[in-house]
Amino acid sequence: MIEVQQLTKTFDGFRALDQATLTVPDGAIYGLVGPNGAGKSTVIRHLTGVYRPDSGQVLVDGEPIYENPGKKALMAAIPDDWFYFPSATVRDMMRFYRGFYPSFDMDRYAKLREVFEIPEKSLIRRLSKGMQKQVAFWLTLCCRPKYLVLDEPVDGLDPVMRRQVWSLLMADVTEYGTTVLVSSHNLRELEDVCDHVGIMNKGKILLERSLSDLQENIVKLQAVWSGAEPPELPEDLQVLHTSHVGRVYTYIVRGNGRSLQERLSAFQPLMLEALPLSLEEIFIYELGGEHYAVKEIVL
Amino acid sequence: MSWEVSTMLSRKSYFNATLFRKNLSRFWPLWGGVSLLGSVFPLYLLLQLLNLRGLQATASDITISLYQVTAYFVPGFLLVYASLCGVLVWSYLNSARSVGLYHALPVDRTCLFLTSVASGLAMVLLPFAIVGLFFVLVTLCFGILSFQALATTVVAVLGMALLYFASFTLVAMITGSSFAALVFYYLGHFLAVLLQELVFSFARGFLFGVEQASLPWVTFFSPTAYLYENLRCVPVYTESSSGGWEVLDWRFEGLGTIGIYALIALVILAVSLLLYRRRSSECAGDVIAQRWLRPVFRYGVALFFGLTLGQLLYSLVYGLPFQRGLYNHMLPMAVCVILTSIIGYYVASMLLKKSLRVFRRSWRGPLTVAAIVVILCGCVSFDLFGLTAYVPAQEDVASVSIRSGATGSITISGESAAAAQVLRVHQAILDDEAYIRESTADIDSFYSYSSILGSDVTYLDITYTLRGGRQVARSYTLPLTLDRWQNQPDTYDYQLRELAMSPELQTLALMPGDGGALMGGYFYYYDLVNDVYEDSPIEATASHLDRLYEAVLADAAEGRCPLIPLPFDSATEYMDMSLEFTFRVPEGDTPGQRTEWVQVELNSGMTHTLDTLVELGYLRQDVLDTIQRAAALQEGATEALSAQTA
Repeated sequence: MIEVQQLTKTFDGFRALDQATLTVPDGAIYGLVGPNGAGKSTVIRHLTGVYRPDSGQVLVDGEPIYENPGKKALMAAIPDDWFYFPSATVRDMMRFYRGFYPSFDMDRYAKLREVFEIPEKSLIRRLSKGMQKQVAFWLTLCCRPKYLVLDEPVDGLDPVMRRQVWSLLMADVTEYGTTVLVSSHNLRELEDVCDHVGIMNKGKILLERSLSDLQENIVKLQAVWSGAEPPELPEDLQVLHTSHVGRVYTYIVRGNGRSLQERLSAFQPLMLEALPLSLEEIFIYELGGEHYAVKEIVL
Repeated sequence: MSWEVSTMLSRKSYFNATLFRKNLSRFWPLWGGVSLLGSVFPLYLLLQLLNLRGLQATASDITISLYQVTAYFVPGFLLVYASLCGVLVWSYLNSARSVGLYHALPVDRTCLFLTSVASGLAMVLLPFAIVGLFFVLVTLCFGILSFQALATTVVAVLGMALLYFASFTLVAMITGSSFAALVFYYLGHFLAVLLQELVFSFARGFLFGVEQASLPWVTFFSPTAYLYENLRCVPVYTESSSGGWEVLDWRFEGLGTIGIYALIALVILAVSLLLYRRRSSECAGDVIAQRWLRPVFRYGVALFFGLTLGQLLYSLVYGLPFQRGLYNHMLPMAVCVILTSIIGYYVASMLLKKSLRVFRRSWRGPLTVAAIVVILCGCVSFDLFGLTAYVPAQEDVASVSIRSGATGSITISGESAAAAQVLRVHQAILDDEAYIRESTADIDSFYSYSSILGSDVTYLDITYTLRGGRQVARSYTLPLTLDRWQNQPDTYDYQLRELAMSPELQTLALMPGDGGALMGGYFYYYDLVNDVYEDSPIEATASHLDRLYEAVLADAAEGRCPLIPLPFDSATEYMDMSLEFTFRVPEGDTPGQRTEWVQVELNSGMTHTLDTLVELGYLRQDVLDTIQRAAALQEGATEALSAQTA
């Protein structure tokens, strides 16, 4: 299990992480989402032991990850700006990784060669950005990590290769119980693979839940009221957002869909329907409460 | 799947072979290229030996080559080459991408550090190993290898490689930029001597007579300078059957110094490891990667700018009316130093912030810099530490060296009467500080008219070595006047004359170090008749050398060989004529280790010497007469002009 507890990090007076706390259960695929500059990459660099926390802790299986080679050997990462030696071929980098990760799997390396179809002797710097990403996946998956940390992992990959990569990851999770933490802006894709989600903003984790809990806890209600004006809803109802098109009113409300439907039925709507929210909608409405919303700009 | 079984490292690791191999294979063009270039030398030697088959190339020749290369080439080469290896090995620390990879690897920083140091040292030493192997093979084939010289060279190279690579490593841990690392490294290697020079040149401008003493411990902190001063390939002499000296063997001097530096290098590496463990990965690319060092850098650069550019700026406006005499004026100098220090402060701030926008709300820093500079200028200008007025007590003086005018440096025992006379001169100079400052206020006109106005200028350098080993150096430019010189015993002019005329000191000035043997000599003079400069070696075998040296000693014993060219004395005109004696002086128990020279400027009063030169045929009497007549005419003309002006 990965635990981040009260993690704070400051760069030259700028607080990049502010008491961030998150937990990634074993075997989970955890999606870390947040706006640009929220601190996702900083969390990831702490998780991989690159950054030392100013305060707080980053624990892997109950032990701090920083300067802990034993725990780092369980973890492999693909940062958004993966480093390779300028004159290195794929095989050179494979040898480099193999020398550090005792669990490096050469059989898997050979099998994945068929998947990625990149010549081993080609210089990595000559490959396209997407192919470089494939090399990063190829080598990282061969490390057979217990924990896999990915920062914008499929950025630059074509749709086929995206699906291929996700399928490899899912297979590892299913077969070996690999725990994956993935940071991405592509929420539609995350929604398909993640079972846990943490939303970050301004260096804090705003909320983290399993995706099903999250989707059960927030609902989109569409109602058509009999009068010209909608009724005044109860004050204890946590309405995150209201909009209407003609007489169809849409409410984003925190709470269980069924119980909300029962409560609103008391206002005798002509029509009332509870719809599940996509991860993208949850992200937008949750951050809307944090004053991060699409602004109406008049040009 | 049990990951712990397959991936957990069973024990702490201090070395990673993969990283070591990777470093060597990544950077082979550097060490391979240097090895290739270096191999030219043994190849050249081989070709020479093959071509010169008829000639004798001995083990001694090889020993000399090895020692000379080690003493005079290796320090400078390693200074540069170790820095290049260091830049490559530690380059991963200077980019966020690479540091992200390295620090995420399942090894701790101690392992990364030790492996990088090992690979860096291997890169430094590999060319030596390859070239050395080639060299050994060539010399072994010809049976001229000295194993002792080889072992000495190997030990010396190992020590120096450790020193240079360790010092670059320290710098690499402090900074997050390769370019900054190189600048700090080269500056750091000469910082001590540079600062010493800057501080003394600044102090010299204010403090009456204070001079830069030789401080070996300062040079010690500039290793390259210290190594070049202390590493030597020296001959070991033995007395030959003919009574002369011949080279018995060659010795490498300075191995102890290298050993001390190697030990210090180990300490530097330990400190570097501590710094590396504290270093934040996010500092990649920063000029200073250790946060606590940033104020030191900011104020250090400010003061460095102040001392260098401030003095330069002052010297650029030297011609303006505020500069009079030999000494600086505090106010304009302080303004120059404050101005350039503040510039330095902002330059450092820009480098630290990697931005030009450093001026807003930054008044505290420049104000602090200005306050420091004002305090510094005040301390120096008002001599708060009493450096100017300090004259050591005679019982504290182990020895004193003086240098003035015609002779080289003379060293006198601190207990001697001559040392007491030096102290009297020094005190008399200090008593007349105001007079000297006033007289030298307009130094240009002072020099121009000194000979006409019945006055003269000389200089006196005094260096005391105190019993604790500390050195105190003073240097004075002294105006002399005829009246004070001849008639006023309380003045430094009179005391200086007493010192210059002392037969004891004159004789001492001609003596080599203890146990020195007279080896040779030269006689130089300007032949007025034929208008040429003549130089004649003095024949040692025909006893000419001993006779001439005895004649000079006889003149000195009668006080005719003054330490400074005597002003106001027509009997002792200098005639552009000098004798040089060479001595072989022992060092420790080894005879003939060091060469010393004694130079004697001849004057018309040294009759014993001049007669002997004529008698032995080195100087024709008619040439001597012409030279003496010319000197007298020149003196007469000067006196007439002086009287006319008066």
